[in-house]
Amino acid sequence: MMEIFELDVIKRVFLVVSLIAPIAPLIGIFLLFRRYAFFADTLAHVGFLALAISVFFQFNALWLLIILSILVALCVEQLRMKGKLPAEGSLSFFLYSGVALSVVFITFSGKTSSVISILFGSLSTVSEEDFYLIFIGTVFCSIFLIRYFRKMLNVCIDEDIAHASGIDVALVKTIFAITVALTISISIKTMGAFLIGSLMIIPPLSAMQLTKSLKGTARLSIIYSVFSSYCGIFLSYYSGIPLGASISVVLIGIFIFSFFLKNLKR
Amino acid sequence: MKNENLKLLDLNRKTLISLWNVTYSTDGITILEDIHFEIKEGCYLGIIGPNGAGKTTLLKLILGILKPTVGEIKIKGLSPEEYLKKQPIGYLPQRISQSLFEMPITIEELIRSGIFSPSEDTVKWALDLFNIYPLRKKSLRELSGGERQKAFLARALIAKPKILLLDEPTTGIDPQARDELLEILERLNSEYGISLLVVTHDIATFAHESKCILCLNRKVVCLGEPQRILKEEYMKLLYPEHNVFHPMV
Repeated sequence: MMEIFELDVIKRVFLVVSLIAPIAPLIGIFLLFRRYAFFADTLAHVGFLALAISVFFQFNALWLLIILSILVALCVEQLRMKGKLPAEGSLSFFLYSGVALSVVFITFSGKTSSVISILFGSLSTVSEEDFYLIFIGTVFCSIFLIRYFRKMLNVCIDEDIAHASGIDVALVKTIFAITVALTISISIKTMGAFLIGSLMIIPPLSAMQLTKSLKGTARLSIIYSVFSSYCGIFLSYYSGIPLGASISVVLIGIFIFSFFLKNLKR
Repeated sequence: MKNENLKLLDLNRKTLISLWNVTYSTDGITILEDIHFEIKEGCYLGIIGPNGAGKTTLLKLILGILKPTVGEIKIKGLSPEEYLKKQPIGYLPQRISQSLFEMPITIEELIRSGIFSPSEDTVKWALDLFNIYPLRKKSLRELSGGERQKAFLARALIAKPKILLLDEPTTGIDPQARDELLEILERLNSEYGISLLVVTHDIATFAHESKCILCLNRKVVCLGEPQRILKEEYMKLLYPEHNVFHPMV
């Protein structure tokens, strides 16, 4: 049973989820506050494109993924702020573009078998080089959360109120967009492009069933996220289910449990 | 209006906000035209006018959220952006997104968000000011409309602003909550010296509460003390199709 801990690749995955699992749901709370969960999905599908390009050109794609996700995140935020396109419209455009172009690159690469791990995550796709980039990304996201948590909360409450409080709303939104892109980029290899959103959204959504406060939601969603990530690694290793899907299955269970517990309390 | 009428409150007080020939247009439509007046420190100004008169736009121009197409706005001699870098302005918008009330955030967390690392005493002061200390652990979704208004006002005040801009603060709350709110606003103005600019449709109430009334309908229709301004002749200019003249004022 414990041979799982003897494999370097599994040790690395444990380290990676220990880094991303506490960050992803905190970012997810802000996305829920802003009714912007679709933003994470769009960036994840752009991530799919970056990984498809890497399969086609046969190189490690994490840095490309980071750059492409940040560019699209900034583009979407600018279009939204300047009112050039409806927010949902620009998100949909980038989402479908990401999927369509990914399919083109994957088809021409002739490696359609790699699609499963790109879409649903894998225990073995995180390289040593990836780990260092993920570590740096985690540090950046943590700095954002520590430095900008109150400001971002104000922007989520009401942008005009935030402005009146002396907060540079445009700057905070831009840094938040970069942080979301970075969180998705560093999580995508383990969670997969289709399921990274679940690690960001389901833990806070589950926690919200049981807590009334922001602090309580943040704490409980981190516990849910870390617990489901560790359980997901075991489930994936012993069942062969892709890692992202395993983690998401545990998260779904947690949500159902929280939802019924809330209704039992009433 | 003659320019001598456009300086509010006594002349000994310093100018707080000045608008110089401000015009604001968007998409080819002029929302506000040639707005020119000054407000002194410690004022309690009620801003009235029909729907679409530009009342909310005026507040957003003062806050620097919108930029004037023509003209200049100064707060204590600074542009709104410069002023906000030094001192926050308390602001209560007309509408808070309903989705916020589905989120898990307590009154205390909302109030704490208004300032970096507030002390326990400051938080308690803001909660006590609005008599919502017992509700501090309640989530926003559990509160009535009046309690939410108080919570947002407490949040606006925790940073101890010198200016408070309120957009329709009494809309959607019952008469008892409205009276409580008005009493608190009066205290903020008289005891704490906070200058208040209140956009309202509740003319009769604010005629009693505020020290000055600004009648707006894309332009400044009239400006001055309530007893002088709230007369039938001015109200007919402001609301030509309705009889809103209230005998109480």
